[in-house]
Amino acid sequence: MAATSAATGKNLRMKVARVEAGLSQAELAAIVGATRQTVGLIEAGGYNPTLKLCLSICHALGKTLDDLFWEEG
Amino acid sequence: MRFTKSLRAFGGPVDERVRAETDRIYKVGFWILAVGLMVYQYYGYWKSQVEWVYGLVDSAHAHEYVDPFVRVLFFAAFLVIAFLLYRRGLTGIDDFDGPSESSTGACLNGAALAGLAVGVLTAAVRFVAQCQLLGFDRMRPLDDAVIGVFMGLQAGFLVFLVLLAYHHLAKRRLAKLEKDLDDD
Repeated sequence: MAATSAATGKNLRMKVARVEAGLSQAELAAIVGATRQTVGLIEAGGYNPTLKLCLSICHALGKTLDDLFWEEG
Repeated sequence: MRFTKSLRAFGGPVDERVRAETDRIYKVGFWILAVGLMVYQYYGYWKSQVEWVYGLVDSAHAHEYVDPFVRVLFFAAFLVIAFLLYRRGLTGIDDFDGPSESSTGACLNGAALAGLAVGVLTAAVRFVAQCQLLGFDRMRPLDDAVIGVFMGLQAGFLVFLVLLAYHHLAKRRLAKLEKDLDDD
């Protein structure tokens, strides 16, 4: 699943959603059962998460997979 | 079970990225260990053979240079791997429904590759063993080459038989998996 912006390689939508939810990377990581480094790497485009983790992040942030991870062609 | 759960809770959340990286580390370590052990055993065998051929040892057990424990460990490890490969159902070869000639061709290719690898490895380790035990003056590289070719042919034939058997077993395993998944 493509989780990054084509221009920068970063997942800015996830970062914005996390900040809007008032969560730090460490807090989101604790909710989804990951480490802060993993959340940071997903936002930075350095790690491609599994669908299971993507869903956990979506549930934690109240978003859909399309909102955070879908990219057009 | 409760004890395992407590241990997991104590260790904190299992991060999928950390687990993936750990698995990769284990995988690299496994291959280094497995290949290293195989080469070590093979070298030990040929070293003892050179010792025996050139009369460097009097012991009747000259061919038992390699520790039997290591030998058992080595074969046990590869038996487990063979079983796991069988259970996996042979991914990577997707021409199961094709004609049997293609299977034989794949087995022949694999056997040729294995034969070549074993031949080169045999010649190389015997060359090194001769160099170590006899020194450059008394070395006979032609012997190493002939033995390498002989061992390569032998290994190629054996690998061909093993691959054919593996193919047959994996085909049955795949058919069983397909049957279990059938939702008609």
